Amino acid sequence: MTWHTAGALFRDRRTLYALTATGFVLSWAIPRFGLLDAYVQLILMYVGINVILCLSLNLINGFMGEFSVGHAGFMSAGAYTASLLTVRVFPHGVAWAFPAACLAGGCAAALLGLLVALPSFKTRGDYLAIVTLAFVFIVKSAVENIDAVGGPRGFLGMDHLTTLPWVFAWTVGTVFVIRNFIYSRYGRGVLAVREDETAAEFMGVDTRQVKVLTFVVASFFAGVAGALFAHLLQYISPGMFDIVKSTEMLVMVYLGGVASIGGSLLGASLYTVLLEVLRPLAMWRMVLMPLLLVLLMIFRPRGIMGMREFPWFRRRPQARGGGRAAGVTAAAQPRAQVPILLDVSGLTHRFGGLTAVSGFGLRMSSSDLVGIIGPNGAGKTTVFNLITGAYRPDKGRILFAGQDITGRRPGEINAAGIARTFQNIRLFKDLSVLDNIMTAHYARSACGVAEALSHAGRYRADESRVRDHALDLLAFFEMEGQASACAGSLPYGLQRRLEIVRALATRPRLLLLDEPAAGMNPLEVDQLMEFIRRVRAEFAVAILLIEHQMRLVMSVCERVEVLDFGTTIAAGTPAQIQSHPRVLEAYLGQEAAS
Amino acid sequence: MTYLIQQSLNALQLGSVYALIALGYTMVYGVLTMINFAHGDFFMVGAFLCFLSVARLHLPFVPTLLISMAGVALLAVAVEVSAYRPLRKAPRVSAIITALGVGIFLEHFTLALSPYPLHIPPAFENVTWNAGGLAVSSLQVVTVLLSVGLMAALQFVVARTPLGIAMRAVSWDRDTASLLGVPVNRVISATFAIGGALGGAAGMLYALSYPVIDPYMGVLVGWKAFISAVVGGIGDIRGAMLGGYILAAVEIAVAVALPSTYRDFVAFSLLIVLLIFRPYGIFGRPRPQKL
Repeated sequence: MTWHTAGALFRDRRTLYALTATGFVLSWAIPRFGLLDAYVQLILMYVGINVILCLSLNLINGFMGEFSVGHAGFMSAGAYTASLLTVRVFPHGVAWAFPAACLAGGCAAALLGLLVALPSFKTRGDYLAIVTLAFVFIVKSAVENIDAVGGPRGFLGMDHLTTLPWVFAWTVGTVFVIRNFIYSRYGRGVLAVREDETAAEFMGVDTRQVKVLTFVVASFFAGVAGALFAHLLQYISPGMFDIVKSTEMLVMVYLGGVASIGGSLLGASLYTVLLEVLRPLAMWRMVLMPLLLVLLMIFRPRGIMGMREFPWFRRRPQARGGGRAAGVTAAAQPRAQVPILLDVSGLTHRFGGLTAVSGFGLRMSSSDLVGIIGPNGAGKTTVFNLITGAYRPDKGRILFAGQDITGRRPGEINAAGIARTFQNIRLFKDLSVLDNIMTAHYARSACGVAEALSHAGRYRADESRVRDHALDLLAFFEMEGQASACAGSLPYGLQRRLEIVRALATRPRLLLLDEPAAGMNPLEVDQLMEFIRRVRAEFAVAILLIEHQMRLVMSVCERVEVLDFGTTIAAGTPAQIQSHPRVLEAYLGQEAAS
Repeated sequence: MTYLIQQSLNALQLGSVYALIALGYTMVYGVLTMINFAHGDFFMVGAFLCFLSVARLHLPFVPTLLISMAGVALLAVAVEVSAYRPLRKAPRVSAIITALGVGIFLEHFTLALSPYPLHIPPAFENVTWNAGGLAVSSLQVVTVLLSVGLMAALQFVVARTPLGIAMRAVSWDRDTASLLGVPVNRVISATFAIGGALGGAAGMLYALSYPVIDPYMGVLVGWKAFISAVVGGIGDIRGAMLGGYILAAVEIAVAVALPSTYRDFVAFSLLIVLLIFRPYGIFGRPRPQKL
């Protein structure tokens, strides 16, 4: 066999199916005929349980980029729930008892996952780490106070129900479900939260929904792993599920590779086997474990696979759906017109003692192209942030297409039809250009949670519709060639352009551009002007833009608002503005103006 | 009434230890915006150094205090230089994971060296005075006085000395401080040394008051101290001191009202509630997000 055919086998999904089938047969045959030593069988089962733990933790810490150490708590909930059921509730010796107990353990853990997800709405990074750590202590302390499950002494009486076929089946199930989850609209949301949570929210990704789902899915499998663990060891105590247990899982995740399914398989297997090989070192191997973690962080913080993936687990390349889609421009998707699209009045916002915006007002019709100019610190970006929901205004009202959107969340405002770009480019840098655009379709996807987890039902149709629409958008702006390129690797001008295309993908009626020409050379500015005109004409969106490049503002905008100290000091056509005394004063000072 | 005062005294003693450890968390956070999860284990090492000094070398109180403080200060600097410094430009999560790893490394390393809990003999004759039903031990008095003294010294260093000014400058803006000629690395090391020394003192005082020590003792106490720092507003020195006494008072109150096994449960629930509703603590201020 040549390397070539070996590579082809490695890429072919049928090889994976064949291996999985062989695995099932072996997992049944090995204990049945005693093909392997009982000790080796035990290790194999630990490998499976650790794969489940590692992959589900990777979903939160790797794919979503949050930092949770709560997995030991979820595992504990699953282990205790399942054990209570098999020992006290379910009749002994019936076949359905164990799988039902595993499911129930998973559900109990998922419920806790729901609780832990709530603080993650507000906090990230180290604070979320603290919350999850405290959660582990709380679970441990709570179990220690429940006498019915043995308190600190632990709980026993479970039958040896965890067998190799069960472990194998649950492991395959975990890989299947988590992989499906990642390659769905929710999975794109998960990655977008990792890349830039704020930008994701402004692009219509329901970040709260994404976080809740991720925590629930991940903790469910941690609970299942706990159930399997309990019925393998036949004894559990609260002390087993402490922070050291969570750290073990972290080592596996960061050893194998973050945001990689293959990495988790590798990390869990390597770590489990390594610990067994080092058994003669006794206590010292527990010294090695944290040391390994520290060294990994310093020398290879993303692990062996580091966000790469085995071909088997990659997304299946999809052919474009039936021919060219209906089109992306306004002509193809007409919408009811309203006389006044945006009506902002009396908008005021303070930062501490500083009034950044005071009594700002603005009206736009659905085809306006308005520019906001003003000296640095005039409050221009703050106005954008107030309109798009990043800040809640202290006073004032924002009406959009007749509805009051004052104080709504960014995602809701985006759903109402306002999209924006950012002063500093905020693309999802590590994702492909196509994925950037597809992520912005989040709110208009029809695929439900169950369909996303199983890749059944509407999943396929929905996925190819979103994909086709994204490709058409790219084609329209002659960026189809870059579809699979990494967004962060594009040249600067293209990144700016991609950010606008991404905003358009949410189908806005009003587009807010924050300094689109910042850092561009004169030639790029010319192209951008052409681009903006084209967007307005073809997509029938109103555009409001902040810009310092006067050439662009004066030639593209039909109306200009001049802001200084948070209020409009002048408004009118570019020609009117250029000779307005207060504008000259604001920009050049009083003496020069007179 | 006497009972209440007695419990308040106990709270004062425990709170002093929490406050000393909390200072270490809060100083490192102030300077590096990093949570040094290993700090609780620095405290544990302080307790073990106290054991070495008192039980093995038979040294009296003052040399023991110096050994504990200096030893832990050295350890803290060593950890900073070898594990945290290479990660200063890495994502914050890497630093947290490393700190967690260092902590468990210290626990397991100590456990491998000394697998059984150790008993510490008294470092000085502990006199108990009884007055009107109140019992006050000399150890309690020493603990509270020494802690308050150390905290006053720290306050002086931070507020009045060039080192303190440099620490505050680095805390405000590390890059600018570096441009202005502040030796950032040395300042950070000094911060770890001071925080470590305070942790070492706390370890010793704790070990003398509760004389059975084991390698995992730093986990829970460290976390309690961390909660104290968060209660006060992490990064704020006065907050850490106040937080330590508040948490000790809450814990003692819980122990009076409920079975003592609920103490941790309440303490950690308090932390979560606090993080959800007032994540920046009593003295902390939220920083607005910039788009």
